[in-house]
This record gives sequence, structure tokens and C-alpha cells, in this order.
Amino acid sequence: MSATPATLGATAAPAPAGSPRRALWQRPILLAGLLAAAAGFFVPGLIDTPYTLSLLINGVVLGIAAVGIGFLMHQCGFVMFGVAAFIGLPAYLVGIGSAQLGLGLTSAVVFALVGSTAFAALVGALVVRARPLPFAMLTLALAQMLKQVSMLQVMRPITGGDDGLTMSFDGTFLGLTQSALGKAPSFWPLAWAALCLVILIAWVAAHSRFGQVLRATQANEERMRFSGFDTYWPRLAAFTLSSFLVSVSGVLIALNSAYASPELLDFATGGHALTAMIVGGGATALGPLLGAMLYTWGQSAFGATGYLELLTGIAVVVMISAFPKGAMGFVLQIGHRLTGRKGP
Amino acid sequence: MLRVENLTVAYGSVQALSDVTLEVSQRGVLHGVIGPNGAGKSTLMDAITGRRKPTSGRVLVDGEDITQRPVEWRRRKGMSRSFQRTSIFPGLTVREQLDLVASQLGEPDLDEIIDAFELRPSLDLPADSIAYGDQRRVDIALAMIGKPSLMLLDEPAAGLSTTETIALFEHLVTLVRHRGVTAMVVEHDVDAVFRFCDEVTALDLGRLLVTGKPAEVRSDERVITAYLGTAA
Repeated sequence: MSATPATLGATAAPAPAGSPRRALWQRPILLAGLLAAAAGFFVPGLIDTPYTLSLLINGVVLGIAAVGIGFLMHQCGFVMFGVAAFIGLPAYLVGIGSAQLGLGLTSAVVFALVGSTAFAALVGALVVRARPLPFAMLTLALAQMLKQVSMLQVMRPITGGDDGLTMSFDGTFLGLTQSALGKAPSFWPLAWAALCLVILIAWVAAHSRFGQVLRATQANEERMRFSGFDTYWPRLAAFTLSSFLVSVSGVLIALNSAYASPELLDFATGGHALTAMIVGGGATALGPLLGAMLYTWGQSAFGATGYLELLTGIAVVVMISAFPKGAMGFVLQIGHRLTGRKGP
Repeated sequence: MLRVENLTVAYGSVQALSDVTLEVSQRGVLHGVIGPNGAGKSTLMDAITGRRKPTSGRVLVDGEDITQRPVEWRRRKGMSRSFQRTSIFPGLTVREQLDLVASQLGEPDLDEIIDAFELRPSLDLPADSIAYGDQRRVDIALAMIGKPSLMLLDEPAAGLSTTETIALFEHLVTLVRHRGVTAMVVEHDVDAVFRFCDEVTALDLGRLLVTGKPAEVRSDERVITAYLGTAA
């Protein structure tokens, strides 16, 4: 079988038919990616202000969420309006695991990821049966429901209600204490490693047969069913995987700030990730990250002027109008023109 | 092989198919289904393949009632179909979509299908960029993959010229005989149906008029009336 996913929008160009597998050093993009991933760990040494490093961390965490929803959008054509559900829920679960269940920090993180992913699988069993627009609204409703639940009086002992949940961790996570997790230079390696892992997972999934089945289903679901493919379970798996990837960002937020609030479950939180994904472009694994970095930088720069919402709105409209395939799509277009390769 | 019992499909008060009983019992035959517009031909095909749930009646394959079975189950069990409007995967090359379906259903003779439908020149082209006639052949080739025992082709010659229609039917006959596939073909081109099919069923206004050998069906008064109307 010679099927390659490239013509359905995956980032890798197809290998010529019959060509041998190339060694790592013969794949410049992959090599550059690995070098960039390794170099990223040394960023704190290059940044002279704590504020800039914090900004980068925010961009990375937002990028993780954007990569997660970008995967779902590109592979299945589904937009998760309620992405905040899988940012806020795992954040709360870290705190609940620590405070209510008495878990050590590592166990609390595992509890949060497993709990959030299991919740995604449960909810996904229903919502992935819907068409794209109802799906988007159902996920939004889900996030709003979770937000309301977190603010209920009866939930106050567990979630802190309107005040949110301040966390106190017992033990360490990958050798990092609560104090270390709260400091940008010591938190950065964890955030960067998580980002690299999330991008790797998204890339591998997109370039696998699983990704090909998802994209073919998006292209012509009826034909897929008439070709013997079950289209429900792969879609559910994609939603669950996407939610897991987004959940990593929620866990990082909890670890860094030791705090979870109903605001994390609000549409605005998810809106940042959605905007970042669209600005960067969802067709590649790196597009959402680029969008998140641009968006985070923009929020900081615009906030300083006092016209945050206005300038953000204008910038987003300009970006989407000028770069319909996102910033990464534009970068790839330039790259293809310079190298003479045929783009996607 | 295939048996349809008292099949009725109603859309509200409109009976698109009314109490149709039909049997195709032999393997390796080409069975044509004809009828004027609105006769219920495509509805029959949709009901047999599971695309549409019948209001009443049953669909049996080799004695097993498959009426409630989902589409993908039927395909994996050997019932395939092509579509009246070409249904391919936009964005995938011809090779990629054949490979994709072959990877799911298994097809050791994919090259034979490619050559039989003359798809080799367009293998590496995006399927939505090739000529319409070639897309029709891709659509049918996808239905051939996995060695189905029963193929249902919905107007496979739609939009093709006379020459292309004849070539297509010749391909079908060759593959049907060679692979022992039973193929049910809905077609508006009655000349091609009577020329190439082993058996023919005629429908009109959702009801089965007659089923039998091409010559019998062609000379049946009810079929003549359905197509030509009564004499003034």
C-alpha cells in the first residue's frame, strides 16, 4: 500500500513512489525540528527579563491548547467552542486530587489527565454524533455547564466557588516542588517538554493511518462508510485525543499558578486558544504554536496601550484576511516558492 | 443470493417503492433495473444497500436478513455500491483512495482493477481533477475492491457518451464473469441494459412491473406502456 496523507493537508510531502526511507539527516525539516526542540531548553539563559520568560510560558501553554484543537479541526473538521472545558477541568482536578483526595503531586497530575480524558471520552460518545455546528455549540454548552457547577454553593468546599481553588501541593512533580513550579526559569523546561511531546503526538497521529482515515471521513463520510469504515469510533478517538492534548495545558496552568478559577472554564479562555489556532493555521502541527506566540505577544503589546480588545480585534481580522491559511501557511508558501517545491 | 421481500419505502404520503419483491439468485450475473423517472430505481438501491431504511419489508442476502444492518457492515460482508452522483474522496489521488479502501477490505488484485478500468494514467492525479468519465470509473473501481459478492451500481453510465457507456459495460461484464460477482445495475440507458444484462427488472411508480430475460422484459406490454404511454 502506497497511501500517503500529504494530499489531505498533512505537512510532510509525499515520498516518491518506490523511494527508500530517508535517514534522519536527509530530512532537513525533521532535523531542524529536533534541533529546535533541544535548543528550546536553553531559552531561559537567553532571556534577560522574567516578564519576557513568563510571556513565553504563556505562549507555550496557550500553544499546547491550540495544537490540541487544531488537530481536531484539521483532521475532523470539528471546531471545539467549548475548549475551556478541557483547560479548566484538569486544572481543578489537580487541586481536587491534592486537597480532597490527598494525592501526591505526581499522582494528582495523573489523576487530572486521566479524569479529564475519561470525561472527554464520555461526553464525546454523544457529541461526535452531531454535525459540525451542533458539535461546536454542544461543547460550548458543556464548558458553560462546568463553569456553573464550579460556582455552585454546594461545590464551594471542593472548588472554592466564585473564589476559585487555591492549591497546596504535597511532594514534587518530576523533581519540581510547588515553589519551583511557580518560578518561570524552573517551570520553563517542563512547559517546553510538554509542548514538544504534544506536538509530537499530534504530528504522529496526523501522519498515521488514523489521521488518514479521519481526513478521508471529513472529505466524504458516506463513501467511507460504503467502503467498510466505521466513522464513529475514529472520530470519538480524535475528540478524546484532542481533549487530552488540551488538558495538558490545563494541568500546566494549575502547576504554575497553583490556582484554578471559574474563569478558566469561560468561553473567553477557550476563545484565546481558538483565535491562536486560526491565526497560526490549523493545517500543521506548528501553526497553532506560532499563532499562540503571536497572540500572546499581541495581547501583551496591545494591553499596554489600553485598547486591548480593539487592537486585538483589528489584528485578528487583518491576520485572517491577509493569511487565510494562517501565519504558518504563509511561511510554508514562501518556503515552497523558495525551494521550488509544490505546496499543499 | 439477494432477495427483497415486500419492500416499501415511503416519504410521508409518497410511496417511492411499494411492496416490491425481487430475487437475484445466481452468481456472476449482470442484473439491470430500468424504469422511467420516479420509478423508484435509486430508492430500491438505497434500501438494499442500507442508505435508506425501508418503511416495511426485508432485504436478505444468502438467506440472512440484513435489513437493520448498518452500511459499513454490509460493505464488509461483500455488498458494495457506486453512486448516481460520483462519490470519491476530493483531495486524495486516485492511487491513494484505491489504496485506502483496499487497506480496509483487502484486495490482492488491485492492479487488475486499475488496468480493467484504465486508471493507470491518472493514478497519481488528484481524483477531483480528472475527467468526469475517469471519476465515474474510479467510483466503480472503489466498489469492486474487496471482492464483493454483490455490487449495486447506480446509473454508472450517467453523463457518459455512447462509446464510453459501451466500454464501461464491457468492463463490467468482464469483471462480473471473471470474479463471479453479482451486479445489479440501475440505468437509464435501456439499450445498454438490454444488450449487456443477463436479467432485467422493470419498475414504474414504485411498483415492480416485470422481471426476466431482456427479450421478455423488452416486449412486455406493461414496460412498453410505462415508457411510451398508451396509444391514443
